[in-house]
Amino acid sequence: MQNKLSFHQSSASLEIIGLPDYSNNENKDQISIISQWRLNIVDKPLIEGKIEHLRPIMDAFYIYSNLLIKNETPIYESKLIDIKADNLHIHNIVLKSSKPNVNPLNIKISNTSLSDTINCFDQLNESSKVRIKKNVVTNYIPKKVRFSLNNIGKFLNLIMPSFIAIFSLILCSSTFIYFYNPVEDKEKNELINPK
Amino acid sequence: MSKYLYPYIREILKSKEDIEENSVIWNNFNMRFIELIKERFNIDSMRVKKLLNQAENDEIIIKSLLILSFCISKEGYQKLKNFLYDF
Repeated sequence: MQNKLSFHQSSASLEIIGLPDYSNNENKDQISIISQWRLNIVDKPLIEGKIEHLRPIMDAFYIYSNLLIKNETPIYESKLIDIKADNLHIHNIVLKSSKPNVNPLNIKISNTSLSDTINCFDQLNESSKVRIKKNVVTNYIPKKVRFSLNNIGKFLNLIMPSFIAIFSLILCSSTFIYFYNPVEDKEKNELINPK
Repeated sequence: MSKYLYPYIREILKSKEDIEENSVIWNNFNMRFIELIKERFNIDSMRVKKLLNQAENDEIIIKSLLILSFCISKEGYQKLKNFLYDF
């Protein structure tokens, strides 16, 4: 008897089917061995697959959502799934089957469906009843490669105080050179210690 | 916070998607957004002027709403911080 868990968010629902890992003393309502998953978006074809497809698809959605916020033309491409923005409101998803002679599935989703889907994945990640191997990519935030003006500002804020301190120290100590007369100092020393 | 506001955020985004059928929510939100910007920001700044321009501010409003809608989970605060650092 397999366990079934569902995560819902408005227009999207994610269903996870699997078994607990009894060798790890897990409860009978836990799912650690996922056999099947289904992602249902209202008015769109059902997306389903094996466990090895779930994580790459979740990662694709997370990476794409990050790109969407940061880039003007967000595109995510992989062997399994391509996602790109048609415009500000429509996202084009191409799901490629691992089986030969199967045409890729094209789905167009709106911003609301995209955020519903990501929230379903968030619920799955946070669920204590489902254990799936977590990749580092889940919280992948691509860093800006270019050294932006903001970063230059932060860098200057970091080094400027120490630079000013060293510069003022050199300036102050160099002024004392004019007041210090080494010949006079030598004469004073001779008077104190006459030999 | 955005978890409780999610239904509203979703409706605003949906209204923009079906602007011909249901433009009331988007227009009301846009008007209120502009009012708040005028009240609280320096309207002489070029960036703020861009925010106030209704022909140009769609993208920034949609992206801001999307950021909030992506951050309704328990780890939403951390996600929001990451988004805002790179926005």
